[in-house]
Amino acid sequence: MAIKFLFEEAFRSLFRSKRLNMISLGAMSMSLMALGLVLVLNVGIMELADFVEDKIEIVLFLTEDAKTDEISMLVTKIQDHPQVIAVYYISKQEALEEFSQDAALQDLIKVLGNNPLPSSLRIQLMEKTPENVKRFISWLKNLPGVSEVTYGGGDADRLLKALQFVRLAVLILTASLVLAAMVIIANIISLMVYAREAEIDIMRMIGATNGFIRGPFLIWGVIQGAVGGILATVLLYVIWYLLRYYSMHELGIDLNALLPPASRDQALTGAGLIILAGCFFGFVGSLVSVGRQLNE
Amino acid sequence: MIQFHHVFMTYQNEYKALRDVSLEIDRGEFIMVTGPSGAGKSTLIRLVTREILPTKGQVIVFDQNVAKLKAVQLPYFRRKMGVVFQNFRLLYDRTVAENVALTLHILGTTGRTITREVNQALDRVGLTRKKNVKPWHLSGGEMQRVVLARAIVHDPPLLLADEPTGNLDFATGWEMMQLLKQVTETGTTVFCATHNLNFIQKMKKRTLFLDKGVIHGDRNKLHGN
Repeated sequence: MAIKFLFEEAFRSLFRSKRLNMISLGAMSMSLMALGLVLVLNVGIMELADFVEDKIEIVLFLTEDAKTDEISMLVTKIQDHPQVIAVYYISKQEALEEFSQDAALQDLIKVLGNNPLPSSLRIQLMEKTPENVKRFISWLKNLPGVSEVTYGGGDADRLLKALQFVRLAVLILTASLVLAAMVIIANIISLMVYAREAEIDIMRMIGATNGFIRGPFLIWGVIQGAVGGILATVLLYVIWYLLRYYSMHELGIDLNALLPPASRDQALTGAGLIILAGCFFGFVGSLVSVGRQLNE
Repeated sequence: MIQFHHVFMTYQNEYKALRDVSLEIDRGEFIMVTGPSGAGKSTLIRLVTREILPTKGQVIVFDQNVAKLKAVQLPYFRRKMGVVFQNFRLLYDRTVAENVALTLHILGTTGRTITREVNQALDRVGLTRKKNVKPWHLSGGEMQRVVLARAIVHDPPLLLADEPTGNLDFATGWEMMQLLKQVTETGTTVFCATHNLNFIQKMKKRTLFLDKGVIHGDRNKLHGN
């Protein structure tokens, strides 16, 4: 089988029924763009979740009468715990300085006269799942010299749970979009194949194998997918750029702060993924549609 | 080359296209089949190309029972025949030469061999000058000659023609018949269906008379060639 001929045939189909090709390309890029958008959102949400998790730290308030050697023993004990990354000691004075940065609170402290703030330990945990945090806190509470333990409490807990939910929702959204994109693309390719039914019929009568008939359609599908993917990536970039520009200059909101900008590698991987997805959809769509025409 | 043994063909709408047809066509023969519309001429040809399978009986082509051909064997089976259709079935977005070359591409021929063989085939049907023209710009007779060139470019042992003159005027149709006759001279078996009795009379070839799916006469056997 002459590969050159199959490629020529595929390119011929690209420039033949121009309107159908444009519709197919449009649907392909739109589906892939939606997919890309979900991908961007997904990365943003993942990073946001990591950011929130990083911010969660456990604060252990020491009793007023805790002595220096008792505190250092406590720190050693906590540091030895396998889940602990770091422990920072915040003295009463340091806590006051931190507190005093807020002007309103400064006045409050002046009224009180003395420093009411306890010294504390701030602890960074390795795995911040709600269960893990709870287990660790109950362990801490039984240690000597501990007055109270907090970790952002229910708020952090709720935020973590919400993020888990959002992640799941985005995942479902992505899966449905992939499915929808595949169905749309397969149907458009069916139209293309249907438009060339007569040609397929002639080829079969002359003795073309199914592989020979299928070849150009598969190549065509992959090319359409790749071009659709590139278009979708460019469009996505342009839209994001315009959105950022508009919100910065008209609304004064920096979108980069809201959704951390992707690194060069991340952006390239994302674009590559969209283009690859396009090629895959084009290939599978053609395979299914031509197969149906060939009664396979 | 072709044998029909007690072949019955009933279509899905209960239409009985062929009833107990038996016939034998030898290698290198020129055989014509005639009869009114709906007599079963096209059905005979479609059975040979294995577009359809007989309801009953056996169709043997190239010593193979067509009913036993597997799907993967079918393309290779069809490469041994050329088919000329009444409605041409050309690819209108390609030039004359590209239409003819399609057969060779399917056969896996490459490079200059294609150009050479396409030129030879177009020369045989007298269309060399129009090889770079798209079929839209051709007359009916010329289109049918392109179809013939496409069917014989690979020198198949069997040529099937289903009403090749159906869309042509008498003079052009007669030219087509002459071309078909020339094809037999190279050893190709030609099986041609036509309802035009003028051609039957003038060609003086073996002819099957078909009516309502039954063979009523075989002129070869009655009068000889």
